Amino acid sequence: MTRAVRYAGLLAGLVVLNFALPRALPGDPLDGSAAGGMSSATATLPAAAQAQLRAYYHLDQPILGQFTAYLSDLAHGNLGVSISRGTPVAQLIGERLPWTASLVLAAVVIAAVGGSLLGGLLAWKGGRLDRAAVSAAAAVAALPELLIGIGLALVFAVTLRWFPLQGGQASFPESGGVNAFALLADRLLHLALPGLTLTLAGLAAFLLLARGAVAQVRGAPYIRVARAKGLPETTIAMRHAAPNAALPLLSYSATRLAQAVGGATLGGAIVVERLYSIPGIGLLAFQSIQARDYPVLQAVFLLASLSILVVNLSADVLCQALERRRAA
Amino acid sequence: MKERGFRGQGSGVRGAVGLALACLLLAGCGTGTAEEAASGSMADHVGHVHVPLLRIAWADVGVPTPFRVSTAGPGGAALLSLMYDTLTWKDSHGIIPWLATSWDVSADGRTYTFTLAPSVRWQDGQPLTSADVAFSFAYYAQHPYRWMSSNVVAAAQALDGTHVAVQLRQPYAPFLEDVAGSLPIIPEHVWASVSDPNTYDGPDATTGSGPFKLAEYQPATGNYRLVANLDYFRGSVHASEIQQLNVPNETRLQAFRQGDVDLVLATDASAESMVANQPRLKSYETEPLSVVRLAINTDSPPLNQLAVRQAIAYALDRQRIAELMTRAPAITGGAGAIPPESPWFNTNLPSVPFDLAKAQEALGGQQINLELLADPSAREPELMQPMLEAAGIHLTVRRADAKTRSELLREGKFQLALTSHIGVGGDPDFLRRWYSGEETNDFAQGSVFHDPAFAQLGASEATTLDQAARKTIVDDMQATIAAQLPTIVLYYRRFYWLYDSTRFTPMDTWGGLMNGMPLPYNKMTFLQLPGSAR
Amino acid sequence: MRPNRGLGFSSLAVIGAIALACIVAMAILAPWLAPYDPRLSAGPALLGPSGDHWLGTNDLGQDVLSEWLWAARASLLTAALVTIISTALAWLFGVAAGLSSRLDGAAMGVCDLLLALPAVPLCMLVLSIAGSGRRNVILLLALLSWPVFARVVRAQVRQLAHEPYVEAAQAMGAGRLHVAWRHILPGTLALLPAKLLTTVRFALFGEATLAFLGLGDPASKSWGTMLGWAFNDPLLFASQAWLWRVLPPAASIAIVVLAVTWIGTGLEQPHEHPAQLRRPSAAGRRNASRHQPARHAAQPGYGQRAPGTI
Repeated sequence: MTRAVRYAGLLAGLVVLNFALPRALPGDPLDGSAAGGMSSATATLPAAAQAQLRAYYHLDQPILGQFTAYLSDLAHGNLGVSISRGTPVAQLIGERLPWTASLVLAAVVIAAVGGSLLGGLLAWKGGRLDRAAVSAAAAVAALPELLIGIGLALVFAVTLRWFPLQGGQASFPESGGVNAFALLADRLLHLALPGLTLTLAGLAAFLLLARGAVAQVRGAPYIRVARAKGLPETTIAMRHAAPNAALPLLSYSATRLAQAVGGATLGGAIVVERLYSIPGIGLLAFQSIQARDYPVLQAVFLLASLSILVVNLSADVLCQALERRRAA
Repeated sequence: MKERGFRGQGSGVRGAVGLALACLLLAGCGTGTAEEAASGSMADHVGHVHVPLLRIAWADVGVPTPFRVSTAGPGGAALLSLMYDTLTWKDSHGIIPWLATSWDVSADGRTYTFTLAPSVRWQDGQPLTSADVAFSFAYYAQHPYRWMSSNVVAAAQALDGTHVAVQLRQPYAPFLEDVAGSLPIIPEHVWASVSDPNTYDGPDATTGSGPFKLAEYQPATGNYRLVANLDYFRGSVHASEIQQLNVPNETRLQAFRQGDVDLVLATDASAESMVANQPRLKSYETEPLSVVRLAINTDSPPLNQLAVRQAIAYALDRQRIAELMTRAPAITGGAGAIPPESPWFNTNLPSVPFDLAKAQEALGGQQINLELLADPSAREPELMQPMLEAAGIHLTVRRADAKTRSELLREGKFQLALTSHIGVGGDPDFLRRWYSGEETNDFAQGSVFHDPAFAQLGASEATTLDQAARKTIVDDMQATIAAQLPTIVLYYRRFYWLYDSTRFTPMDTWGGLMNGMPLPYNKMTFLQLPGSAR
Repeated sequence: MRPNRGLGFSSLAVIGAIALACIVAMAILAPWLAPYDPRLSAGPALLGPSGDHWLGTNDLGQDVLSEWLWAARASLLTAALVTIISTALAWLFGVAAGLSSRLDGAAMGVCDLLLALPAVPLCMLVLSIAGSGRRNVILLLALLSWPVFARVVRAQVRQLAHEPYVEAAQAMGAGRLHVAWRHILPGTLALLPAKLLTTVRFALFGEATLAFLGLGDPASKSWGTMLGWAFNDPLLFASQAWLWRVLPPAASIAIVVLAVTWIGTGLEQPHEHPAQLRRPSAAGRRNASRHQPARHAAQPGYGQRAPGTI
């Protein structure tokens, strides 16, 4: 109950902050340029066009009026229109969310599951392989996403030509004769390298966490008892060790997952989305920050806040359930 | 179809990861054009060769209507120029008739009467008439075109089916090039009923009269597909399809090398080495229409003293900065902010040479502190710091993103600002607009210069319609800037375009496309003009 | 207990410590070791490695070796401070929230707020108001990086709190702080390597990201910004210059991250259960079972108590 109140309070506070934060940044959505595709060229917007747009987006109103208008729009499910693109924000997010969902989330999930299994297994077995794998994963994770991404692109796209260099899908699929299966295959082909980049960059943390957590329970008395009872090794690992090691991993995965949806972090998803031209939420958020596109920022940040809160809330509930059943 | 398989013969992944990466990289760069060389014997000149597809690497420029296109960079306006037409246009020699076949200027310079080309049709088949032209000006007065102001137009009136009179608020010398040559004429039958063009999304929103029609825009990916307008009034279009693809800087050149795109921009000369010895791939350098300069806040002491501004100019080894940044021979002349290859360039400008002794002398031995506002990715400040330090000027660099910079510049909260932009190759009226505060675009940011004589020159430059007389005034304006230094030009830049010569022929435009864009895809390069020598 | 054969984690930890010490020493000695003024354009641009320039020159003609040495200072300082502050905060909040249900709500509320706030605009706002000196950048990066692991630590603490030896200690009347310090904290050290790895990584790259948003300390260069400048050059891979522009900073970041991870795995005691390590508490456990006979009678043996039942 109190938790519900706490999360509701947090959400309300975040709505206010997400409205205020973009507007508190120096600069103005209609004044001057956002960095364009060509670094040397800057935007031009005639004064009349600027004034007209300012009125159109209610930027000429006092801040309180803007806020109440935002709240009432939000209550009606209207996320507004992007200032820099002139497209409804809901449409923008709708176009991009599937890409983020399929790429970033897949990468987090693969890194979480793969890293945890690998780390757990290595810690269970121990020895030389453990150290080698931990060191290798840490070394890869020490590289910036951009370097991993460019490296993969150079090897697998430019030189070997196994994968396309960039884009979320073939830019313009041959008209006609495109079936759903071919489209899916095409997308998977395009998302392989960016997905791999993100997975490699995120893998080490999961691996180390799982390794530590499993090492933690490995020598626990109940494991030794189970072993003494002659239970098969897999049963011990899966039924006794894994659930005990799961709590910290679950907590970490949840947060990473939520951050991945939200974009606008300092993380590398934006870099990868940009490098491979994947139209994801992170890139949208970043470009909108550069453009001070208030309506888009409000909506994206709200999405980010919501996903963090929802995921953390569910992780809390899940953890508690785990604890309760253990205690029972 | 893209071929698959291993192209870099003899190079495999072996040895240490780094070494292997290096090998693969070199293989990727060094080989790979044997097939291309074989097929490279096709006609060098695309002029009359039919091109099925041209793919241009660029960024997302937003929804391509005059009211929603992105104003970040010239790409949006350039894309619109393929889909829409303007009353006048420019070829490599100057202003030429386009939708208008001829025009008359009234004696007071305030009324332009355009005669429209007969039987021009919109891409939906409707005829383009003088009513559409008059409507366009009226509509832009209410819903301004995002790239160029049409404020100077008071009214436009269709006289008959093919004649339209445009009334200006005052005589305006750049009208034919900057306004009539930039403003896309839009169809009345589409826009008359649209009250909110900022969001209008109808299927006819991109209907123009230009040589290409928009077939598809993917807003998420930022890719565009244009197809030829088979019914184009100025001649047959010999490129069936143009795709403008959103390719990030990091992979642009690799994408070009790999044959994923046919035309890419590179910003320094070393890109030219990428196409050396490759018969099919060529490079094209534009005129130096981009300027990198210091905007100086002449209100902010000690920069209000001319001697300090001169000291800065003397202390900077602009030759070295230019060579390091462009990786090409330096273009440092043109202290008047008009590039040396522009038709408006004053050839008699005194140049301020790099001279440390003179810099110290100008400062009178005093040490001063200055702050430079610059883009986070600008490289020049790091070179300038030690140079100025040697002259006794301690330079603090403040980096800020574009929007923050805009605000600081607008409010005059700066001393020096490093700015880098195009728009100096076209009509020279920008010199007046920068310092009169009439230019609201970024190029004018940080222009602070209170000089009555200069303002006077500007006022007469804008209203002098006689070309030769105007050139003299513009020369004087450049001389004033070079002497008073409200801005210090560091250098001018060319753009380097790499292209597949079987698919594209670059074209020079007089003073740059529209208001000075160094882009090689003037729509005329896709046209076979009747009776033209091209 | 399996004997540590060959190169164990503790020996890797020693190697890591030595490597880190070497890099730190080079950073400290940068003013004496650097052959050139790193700011000065000392030669032609993009010169390959030679006797004059061991690591070549960058796009501005600056000596890469000197640049690298000076950048090591900024990078190591940032990485060290961010990691220390962030780790301390994560553990402080995590352990407190895990042990005290009263503090839990508030601590996790702060965590969730920081996690849910968009990091990039937050940085832009804070740094544009407070100034983007190195101190502020470090504080901000530390502030942004602790909440994730505070949650992870809390989860681990709550799990440990149900371990018999902890319950036993508590039952014995051991003070909360004592329990936290002697029984809970050692059990959370297994999380340390992951925390060190992610935070060092975040500090080094986050700082560079901020620099390219115009929010870095413009006066000092770091390995991250060296990489950033290299990647800023669209023609980086057109020549071999990437070999000496990218590899030195990237490799040194990799070495630092690796060293820290190894040291972290040396700090934990991976293959032993805390129950055995805290041997003195074996007696305590006997005492505990005397104090709580009913509970243990209900659940005889740890095997059945294990969440294998879940």
